Amino acid sequence: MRSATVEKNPSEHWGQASPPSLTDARAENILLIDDLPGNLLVYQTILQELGQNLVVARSGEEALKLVLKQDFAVILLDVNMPTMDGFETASLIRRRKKSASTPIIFLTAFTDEVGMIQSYASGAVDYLPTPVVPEVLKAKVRVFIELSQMRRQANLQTEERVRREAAEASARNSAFLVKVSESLARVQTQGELLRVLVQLPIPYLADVSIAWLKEDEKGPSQIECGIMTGPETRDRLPGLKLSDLPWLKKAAGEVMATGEIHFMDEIHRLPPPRSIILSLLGSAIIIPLVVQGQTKGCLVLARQRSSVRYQLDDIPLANDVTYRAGVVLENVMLMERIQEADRRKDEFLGMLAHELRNPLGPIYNAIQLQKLLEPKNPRMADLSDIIDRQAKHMGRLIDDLLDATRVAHGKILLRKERCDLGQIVHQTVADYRTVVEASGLQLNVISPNAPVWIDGDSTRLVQAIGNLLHNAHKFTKSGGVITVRLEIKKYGRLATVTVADTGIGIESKMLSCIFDVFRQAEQGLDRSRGGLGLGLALVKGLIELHHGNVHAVSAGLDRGAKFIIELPVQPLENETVKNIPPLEIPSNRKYRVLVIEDNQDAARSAQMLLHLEGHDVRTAPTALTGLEAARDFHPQVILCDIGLPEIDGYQVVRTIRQDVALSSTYVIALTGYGRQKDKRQALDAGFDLHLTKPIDYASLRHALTLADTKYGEMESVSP
Amino acid sequence: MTDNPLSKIPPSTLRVLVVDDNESVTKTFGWMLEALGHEARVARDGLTALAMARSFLPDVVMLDIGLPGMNGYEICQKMRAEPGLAGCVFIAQTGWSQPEHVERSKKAGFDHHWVKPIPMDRLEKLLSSLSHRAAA
Repeated sequence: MRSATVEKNPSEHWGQASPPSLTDARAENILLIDDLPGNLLVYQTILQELGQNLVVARSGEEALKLVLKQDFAVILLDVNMPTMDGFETASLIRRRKKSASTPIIFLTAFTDEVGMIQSYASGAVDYLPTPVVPEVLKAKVRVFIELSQMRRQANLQTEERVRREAAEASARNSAFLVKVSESLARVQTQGELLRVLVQLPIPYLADVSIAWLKEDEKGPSQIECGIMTGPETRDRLPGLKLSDLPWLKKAAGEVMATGEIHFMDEIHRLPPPRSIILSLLGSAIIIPLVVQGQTKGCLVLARQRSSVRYQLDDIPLANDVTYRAGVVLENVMLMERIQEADRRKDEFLGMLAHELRNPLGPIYNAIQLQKLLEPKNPRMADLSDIIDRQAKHMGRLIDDLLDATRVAHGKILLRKERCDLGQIVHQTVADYRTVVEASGLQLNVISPNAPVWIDGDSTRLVQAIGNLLHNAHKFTKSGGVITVRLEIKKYGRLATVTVADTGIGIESKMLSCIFDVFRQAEQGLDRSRGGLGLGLALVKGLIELHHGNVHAVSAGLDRGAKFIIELPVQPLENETVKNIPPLEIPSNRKYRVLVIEDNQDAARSAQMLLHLEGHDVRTAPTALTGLEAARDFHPQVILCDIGLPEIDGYQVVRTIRQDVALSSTYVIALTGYGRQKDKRQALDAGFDLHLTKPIDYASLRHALTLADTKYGEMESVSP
Repeated sequence: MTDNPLSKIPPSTLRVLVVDDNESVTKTFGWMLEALGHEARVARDGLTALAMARSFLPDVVMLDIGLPGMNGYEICQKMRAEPGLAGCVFIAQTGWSQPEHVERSKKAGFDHHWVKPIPMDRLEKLLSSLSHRAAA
């Protein structure tokens, strides 16, 4: 018997390669549809021994619901049913996507030809007359079960293959990305990054690749092209310019602008000009190189005409490459910035040494000469002047350096008050007039007649405008003109101070960075004009602290320069307006002055200066001797060093303030530190004034005029 | 200088040209050289210095590097080419002290690269050895 053979050894039927058997494979679903429970019972009985999962339905409607829920290996369908007959049920089953190809066997008592044709037309694959012959039914159903099992097996194998291939591709991609990361990790410069980057995608991702960094403040755009030159070799095409690749320029430009990936196809068909590269290429993708959300360049991957064109699937891997390159680019840019800052700092330190040595030379010479010459030699006075002038110059350099650092770290506190900018401008011009005119320059000042009120720190504004004047003076030859102009703009809301000169001018490429610290127009080793390049940085910092701004304008080299400060004008209110104190008139009062200072040179020089002015001076090297001298000598003015041994200046002043006999003495602190903090600390401790060492003649005189105010009514002491 | 306090009077007087745009430098060097018993001339720019060198024929030229117009290197090269200045000693005096600066001075034809400030005894020692040589 045929069916018995099949039952005994099913594997024989399919050969060794396909082992599915009805017993060990997963049970298949079989749907039995008949309106008569008796028939269903018969079919169930016959098919039970196949060991499959038998599902029954009593109508076409019920069957359709079941078909939606599960897959069936085969459906046995009674043709003759009430409500929905077999043909209708079959065609509805076919129409469902899920069951469109499920085999349907019709069962019917009417075995006429018309019925047969109709059943095949409505989707049957076989046809069984009822009453069924059990062996025939079993054999037919078995065939469909095995078919279903085979299909399932094949599906599993396909799925497995797809999974394996995906795993292999993923492993290949991972290995590729590991290589990408390794190669990129060694990169130190932007140029190196491009050279490495263009070779990486070849041949795995591309036949030709082009990496492009757009221009930035650091330099022009850079481009590198990598190309497949043989099955196993790749090369760079050095010296390539973007202008050589007009087809790419526009597309890459778009990617730069939008930061979005761009696909290109049929590149070889693009309009001329043609190039060898162009004629070789089929499709390409252009991926942006992004650093911190900004598109810094792009990577172009292109394939030969004969290769598969790029698909959406290629994007993730290409993105992985550019993402890694972007991270490296960020590090490289950071590193280059640090190196550049470091280089500039080193240069600056060299320049600082150079600038400090310059005034030091004549100071040394003058001191040597003072030893050589007779005291009465008329040149002696000149020598003192030289030392004075050069030492002041050094002092200014150091002040500029410290101020620029303070501004850079936001440590300058303004003592703002309502002041007249016109008066500030005139005072600054007055300060500089002598020195500017001595160099053969004309100095003009133009300002409105009425006061220009602003909220500002007049000392700092004098310093800022003074720096601009100093600059104009430094860079303008004899015979030139410097003009300082104060104007009111924007309906009285904005004041501008313009310092214009007819000097050497500024190259346009330098205009944007001349306010940077450590930046000075390249002068090289033979710099003849000197300076630290801090003055303008300081001006900018100080003006910005005043909520203003400063910018430079120049038509180019030798065309002069203009520096324009803009400051907000304050509306005039009915309040007392503090003006800059007028230039001090030298004091004529003579005082008893006590100098408490442990540095003998400093004490002696202060004593000499004060003595020359006709004051009665005593010195003391320590706090204790100082306090003793104070009680004995009753000085009107005490100059006290802060850093005294054992008992410091703060304690000295506290003691003085507690002593009834001494408490009203004018006490001046002397320190090496001019920071705001030091000054405040001194005033808090009870000092009347704080002076930063070295103490020069002018500041000492100034201090004594301030003492005059305090001692306004006191009787002067005769020398 | 009438009141020369130096005990060592050099055996021969040297002619020294000092070039620096800082007047304090030229003035003090001028006086110092006089005090040391030498004859000094000063110039504050390259062109003046070259013209002066041709007539003054100095034994020693002290050149600042950072000068307006012609810099110290250029002046040194031009003076080196003057036949009348053969045997003249050139001293670069500058604030730059890095090896590359010393190298550049050497290339320009300087005999010495001195970093400012220049100690007087150093100048005195060099001039004294030169004047002894000249006297010999």
